[in-house]
Amino acid sequence: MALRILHGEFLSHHVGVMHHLLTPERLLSSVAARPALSTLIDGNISSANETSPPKILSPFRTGESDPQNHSESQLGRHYTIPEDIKQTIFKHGGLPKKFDELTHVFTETSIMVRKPFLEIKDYVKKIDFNRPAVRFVLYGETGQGKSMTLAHVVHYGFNAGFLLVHVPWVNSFMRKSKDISPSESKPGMLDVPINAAAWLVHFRAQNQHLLQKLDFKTSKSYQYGPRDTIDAGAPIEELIEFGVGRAKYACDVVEDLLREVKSASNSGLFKTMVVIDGFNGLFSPFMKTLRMKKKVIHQRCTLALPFLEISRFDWCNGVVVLSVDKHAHTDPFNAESALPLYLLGKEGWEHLDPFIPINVEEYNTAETNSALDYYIDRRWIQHPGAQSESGRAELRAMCGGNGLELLKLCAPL
Amino acid sequence: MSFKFLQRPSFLHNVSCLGFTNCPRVYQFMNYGRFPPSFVEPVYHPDKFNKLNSEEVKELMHKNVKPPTTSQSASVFHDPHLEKLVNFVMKSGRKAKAREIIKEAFEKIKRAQVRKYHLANDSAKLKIPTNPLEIFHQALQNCKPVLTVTPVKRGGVVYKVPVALDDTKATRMAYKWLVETSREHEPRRNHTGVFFSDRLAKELMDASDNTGKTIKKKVELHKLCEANKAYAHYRWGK
Amino acid sequence: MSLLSVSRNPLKGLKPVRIQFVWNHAIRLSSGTFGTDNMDAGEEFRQLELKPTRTREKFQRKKAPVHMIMPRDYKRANKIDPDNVDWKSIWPGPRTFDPNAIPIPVRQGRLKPKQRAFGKTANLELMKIPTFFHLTPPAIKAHCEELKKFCTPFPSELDTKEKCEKHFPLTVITNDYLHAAPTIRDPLARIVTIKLKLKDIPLDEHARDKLMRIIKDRYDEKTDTLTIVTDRCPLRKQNYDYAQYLLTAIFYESWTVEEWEASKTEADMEHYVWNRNTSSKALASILNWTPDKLGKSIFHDPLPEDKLKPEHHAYGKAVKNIVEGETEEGWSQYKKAAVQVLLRQ
Repeated sequence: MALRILHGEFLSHHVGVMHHLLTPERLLSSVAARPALSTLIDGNISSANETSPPKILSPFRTGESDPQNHSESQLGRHYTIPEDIKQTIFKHGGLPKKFDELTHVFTETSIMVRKPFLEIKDYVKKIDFNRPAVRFVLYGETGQGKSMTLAHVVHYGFNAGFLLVHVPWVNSFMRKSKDISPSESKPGMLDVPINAAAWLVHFRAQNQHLLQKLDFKTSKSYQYGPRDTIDAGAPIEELIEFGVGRAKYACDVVEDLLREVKSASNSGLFKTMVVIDGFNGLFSPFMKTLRMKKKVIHQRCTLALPFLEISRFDWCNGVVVLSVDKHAHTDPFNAESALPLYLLGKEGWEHLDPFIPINVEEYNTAETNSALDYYIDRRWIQHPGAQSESGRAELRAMCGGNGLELLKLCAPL
Repeated sequence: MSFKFLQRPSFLHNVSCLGFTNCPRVYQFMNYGRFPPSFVEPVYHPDKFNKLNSEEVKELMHKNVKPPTTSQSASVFHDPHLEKLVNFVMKSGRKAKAREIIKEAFEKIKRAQVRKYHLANDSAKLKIPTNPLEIFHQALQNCKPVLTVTPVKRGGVVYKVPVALDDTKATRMAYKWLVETSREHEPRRNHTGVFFSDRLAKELMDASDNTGKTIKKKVELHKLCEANKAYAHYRWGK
Repeated sequence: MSLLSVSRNPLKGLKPVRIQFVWNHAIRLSSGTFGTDNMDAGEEFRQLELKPTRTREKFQRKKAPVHMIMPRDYKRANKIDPDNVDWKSIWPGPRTFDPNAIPIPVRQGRLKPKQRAFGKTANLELMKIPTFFHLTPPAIKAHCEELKKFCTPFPSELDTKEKCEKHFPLTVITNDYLHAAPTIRDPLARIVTIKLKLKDIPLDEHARDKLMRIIKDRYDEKTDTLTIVTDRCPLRKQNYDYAQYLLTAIFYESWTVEEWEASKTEADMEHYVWNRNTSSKALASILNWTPDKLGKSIFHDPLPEDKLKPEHHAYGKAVKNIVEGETEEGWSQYKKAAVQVLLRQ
């Protein structure tokens, strides 16, 4: 790779530049960038790109793509998630929609390393896994980075070998469920079969590699229908397959699966990380569907129960990372405050207390600058005005440190 | 917290309109601000502002100056051509909606082009235009006709006489055509899933490449002028 | 210019004169008919303008000063000199306007333009309205002197406000209303307001809590004042008696303890006490947890006082702060306390 730089620069006719390029720091940094290069180059792209010269890392990027090694020195920098890992863990959700569209445009997935994630990582390191599961609650205004931090946490959990119980967005089955049917096992409540089956697919995709290694078997037998039985001692994949295939029983399967996970974790078979975005939505007393938009059915959802159960503290070897969001509130457009007590309500508060709250704040100036640099590098901001100090100052002021707002502002530029 | 930055004047460049703060009299006019002819257009953007020499500045200091409208901002991202396009896209005075549509169109252009850019070879990268504003300017330039036809009556017969166009009119026609072609297949009852911003994006992309329906309109107009070349002298006198 | 000093109109009997400006042709001609701006001092020839752009000065006419035409008898009529005469004896009580008795010129009545003002003789408007000539300052002063016999002096010992409040904690507020009408009655005069500071009455914790629930929003926290407003009776005395009764009744009610008060639930509590709530139970459950307790969440009663460590106290305080009103600072305090309790460093 170093040879290639030299070759390139011989052709450039700029002797001064060549002299500048051959400085030891530059060569070293390009060598250090080598392990990250595979991450910077898309897996999607064909061999056409293999001949491109290596990218020298800019100050807003970091080559460290393993969240376990992220520390204060990477604060404010973007790290890239390798494409294969992204396909495994985020295929069925996890990245916010607008951000996902951007990753398609930029042909890479880069997340900014920020303080909330580093806090969670530090606390997780300090947890005594023989004690009850510790709960973390992320809170903050819309667009400030809760879901992004959770995505970062999921990647961290995946790399660190946790079993992931990840609910990308609670409202997808509480509000926009594809199909509602009255529950058989829990009379008076409503089932969401298709959403439950989809979640099982997501769970399987995220944890397949771990389940293959572990000897995770069911502790007792489960009977769902007259001929649908899962025996005790069967591998857990069988239970998941059954749930995916028979959507009718999928909600019950999820409940049983999570109970198994909880007890297996408790006995020390593996460590679990539960990540739920929009946790306050689980306490909603009613449901809505896509089809019956105007109809509100005042009954509770069965799929909420297993996630409520697993977010309790009565098991060990577990970490629970949750987020409370205004949009998951019962009245999302009139939610007055983004603080946890208001959003959780009495029921949620009593369920979670005690927990560790983590405030996801706005970007500070350095972070906004880093984000702007990244957008300029990825050609999201084309306008030359954004390169000037006054243009940047304007963008910084207009977005007010809100990441989503910055994204929307830079969209037409 | 909704910021429409293309409309808001930047707070960093506050007093950008020369002469307004020196205005001695207060004129009260109707809401849409029709000023008497003696009032002069404002110089609101630092680019133009900084290019004025001291004599021009002195002259403006003693004149009455109209206040800038909300679309005339001193921001770095301000583009007068874009403001004009917004006006053409606007219906029923819904400027915010028009602005949003254009923003969406630009975003769509950018998404397509930037992805292409990232997936292309280094040599091909230079040829891919990614700046939606530049694409728009190029499209506008390409759509401008040079000649148009005007009806002239001679001996009871109305002839279509080719006539030169001045820049303002030509630009106006370019804007109008761009928006018209984008509106052509607007869904009436059943929404086909394609929005006006999609069509506008496509039109701008095509026009900057010298293809598409708008360019076709221009070319047809030029052809018409060419066909009626023989009557060109009808323009002057009998 | 006071009413009493009437200016002597030298032009008595003459009608007011309108002064007119004369349009000066000469001014206009001398400035030139065309292009006044373009005329330089030294130039001989006027500049020809195809489209003259000069603006004509608009001719401004001065409006004739409009002043009210005074009544014909607008001067001092009779010989009564208001300063040297005993007015109280001339006009002792309320009486209709008498033009001959009142020495000053008065005019009253709405006028049409250019109409002469109406004088005071046989002026219906003046006679309709009530007069207050019986209430001149000297007359009132005499009244006060007479009333002084029936008054006692204010006690000199009560010289500071605190002493007044100490000896007389109850404040009774009533209003009297005066109208420019023959009647002295006003329905609002029956309203009685009683104000009392709660620090002046003996209350224990239970009595105070119960009193607060009874009086609800009649209590102002900042000034520690209970305000009772009564207006349901037609007479002031009756309202005052009722207010006194109310005060006595609520005081004794707040001191009595009923049987059903024992069934007060947590939801009825007006203050959050951490040690009674689920939060402390959850903490106790976590601290006493063992792996066999899977499936049971809050299974333990709150820890007794002696087992609580300082970090638990801090945590309890932080929880109380949050529950009573959550703020950003409250949450950062809670975070610190929770980290101390949940993560063993």
